[in-house]
Amino acid sequence: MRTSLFRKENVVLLLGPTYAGKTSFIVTSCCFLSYAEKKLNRKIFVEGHLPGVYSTTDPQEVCTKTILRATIISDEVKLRGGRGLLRIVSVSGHPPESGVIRDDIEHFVAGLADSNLRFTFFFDLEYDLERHITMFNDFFFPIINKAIGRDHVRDILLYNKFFVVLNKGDRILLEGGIRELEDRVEEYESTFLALLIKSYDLPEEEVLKSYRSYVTFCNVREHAKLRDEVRELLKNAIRAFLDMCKPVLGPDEHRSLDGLVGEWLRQK
Amino acid sequence: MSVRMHIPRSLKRFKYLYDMLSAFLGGGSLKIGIRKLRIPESMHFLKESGDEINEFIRERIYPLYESESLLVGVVQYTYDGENAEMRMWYSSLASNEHKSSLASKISPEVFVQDPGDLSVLDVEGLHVCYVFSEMKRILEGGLRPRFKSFRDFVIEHLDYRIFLRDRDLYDRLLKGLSSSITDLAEKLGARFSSEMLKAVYGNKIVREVLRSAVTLRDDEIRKFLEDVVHEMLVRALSGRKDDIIFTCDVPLSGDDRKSRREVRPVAARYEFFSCKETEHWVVGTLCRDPRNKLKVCLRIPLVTDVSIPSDPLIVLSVYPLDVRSSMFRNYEHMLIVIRPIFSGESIEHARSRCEHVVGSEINRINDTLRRRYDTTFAEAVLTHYEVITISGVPRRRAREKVYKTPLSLEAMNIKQRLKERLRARRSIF
Repeated sequence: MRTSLFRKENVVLLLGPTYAGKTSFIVTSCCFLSYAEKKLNRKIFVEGHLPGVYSTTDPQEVCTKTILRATIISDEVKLRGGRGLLRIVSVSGHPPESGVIRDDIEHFVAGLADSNLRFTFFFDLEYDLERHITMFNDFFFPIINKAIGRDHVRDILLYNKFFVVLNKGDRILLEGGIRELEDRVEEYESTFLALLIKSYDLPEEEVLKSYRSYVTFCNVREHAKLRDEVRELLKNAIRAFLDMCKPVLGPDEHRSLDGLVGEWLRQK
Repeated sequence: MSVRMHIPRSLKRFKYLYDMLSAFLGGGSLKIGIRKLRIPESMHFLKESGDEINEFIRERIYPLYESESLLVGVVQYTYDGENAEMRMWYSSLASNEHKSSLASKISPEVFVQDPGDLSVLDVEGLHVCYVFSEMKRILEGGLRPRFKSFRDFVIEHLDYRIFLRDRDLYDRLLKGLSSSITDLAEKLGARFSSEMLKAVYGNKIVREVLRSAVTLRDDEIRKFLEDVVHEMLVRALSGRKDDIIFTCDVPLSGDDRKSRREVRPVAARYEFFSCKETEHWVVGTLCRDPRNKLKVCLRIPLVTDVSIPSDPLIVLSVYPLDVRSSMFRNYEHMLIVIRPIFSGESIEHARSRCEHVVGSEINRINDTLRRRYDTTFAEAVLTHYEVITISGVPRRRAREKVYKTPLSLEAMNIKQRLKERLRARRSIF
């Protein structure tokens, strides 16, 4: 078997319904990154392509100027760690009303097939669970299957591990309390895993070992003083981001970035 | 006798608002000029309820208040329901050195000191809400050398959104204005000359009401204009009295004409007509965005060969054909015409040009799309996010229309097994 002379590109692909918070997650991560870069006096953010900022090399610009709710096809940020480059990309979670949008997304995802790809599945805890199922069944799974190939997707899920981000936890927390949040997270996570296992014929035991889940809050532009619990959810979002970046961050880099999370959160 | 009205020149700084007001005052149908949408998806047509508009202001505008380069403006009904007023809030106004320059260009009462004032608007009366970012950059003179003028810079760089309520609201606004004029006219015990009103308002409703009008004496018309209409327009535009001038086009001597030209601001003279034969053409631009993606930016959501839900709000270019300039050349194709406003042209002539240009441009777009991108015009149109919004199904609503799929029995069993395992290891924080 021939192997490439070049190292494979590291890509994290964010998938989830529209308004689940994929762009917000990237924006939040860039806000943290902007802070961290200044503190560490080191450039990590390479470039970003997001609605409202288009192409930028400044994470602060992504943080403040990105227009949320406006992803047509994809968002993308590129980061450079001590061990290489990482692209975090998200595709539009728009319902499949238009064939051309879907084609564009398929083409975009197909372009990632040869990379060292990992999936991150996004959920909006306020959005109906059964509609999530429809969107994954009818939109996202068929797209990645067509673009990458079902068997390849299966391998990626099993061997590259995947992330589950359960976003907008703050709203459930503030409305229903911690118990309600726990129940909902359990319901969403177990449903999705069951769907994934069934759709890709995955072994249950392996799946439980091959993913990490995070309950998050990604509205970093929220200006009101955050409650402690909500701040923890924001912390989860940054943790998820740092975990996604792990393959390209050196151990020292990861540690120093992780160490800055608390400091950054205290400003919020 | 004809009457020409001058819209406050200070508003020309905000080209789109200026055009809107021009249309508001001059036309029987809504016409708003948008030269180029840097971010086409940023244009949004309000179909939402008042609560949703408030939510927009709270969720989208408030978080941006710390941005130093943000200008937020609204045009809305006044509480008497008869007039429109404009308010703006500029994030850096209080402490900014540009305060004086801004204030000198725009009437001070237009600015609100507290951004919160914008959110207590009577949302049902909200007519236009627009947000300009990068204001600071513009005010600091951050013009790129390759642009010839401030206007070009604004067109190229303003990240703006225009929110319009639906056509009904506009019609009500227009109707309210028309009926108030009629009422006032009746109070004066006279009726207007339909020709004169047409010149002032060009408004079909007004024209119909006054179809049987008798001609007033010149001094009566003058009195009415000076006492009533002028004051109303000043209020509607939040302008200064001196900004709205009525002039009499009586024959002038050579000297008079020269001095008049020197002192008078350049008048915005718009003529409107309905281009019935072409109203089902789409007007849009085919261009590439900075990510090299192909976009069709629509100006009007009516397409003959694509099924898009009706009841569109018609947004039109107000630029005459002959102002197409080099700034459009980064488009592969540019369509700027449908029911355009031509200055100094006969309606017949303008209509024939309109039909010709729209037809040939659409054909060219179709050819290019087929040849280079292996797609159709209709498909290209549908790739554009804004089309979906224009069609009355914003993404937020569209996702609520996604049907629900329950888990299959087999997956349900898997889920039950997983639940136990997950419960044991669950930790949110």
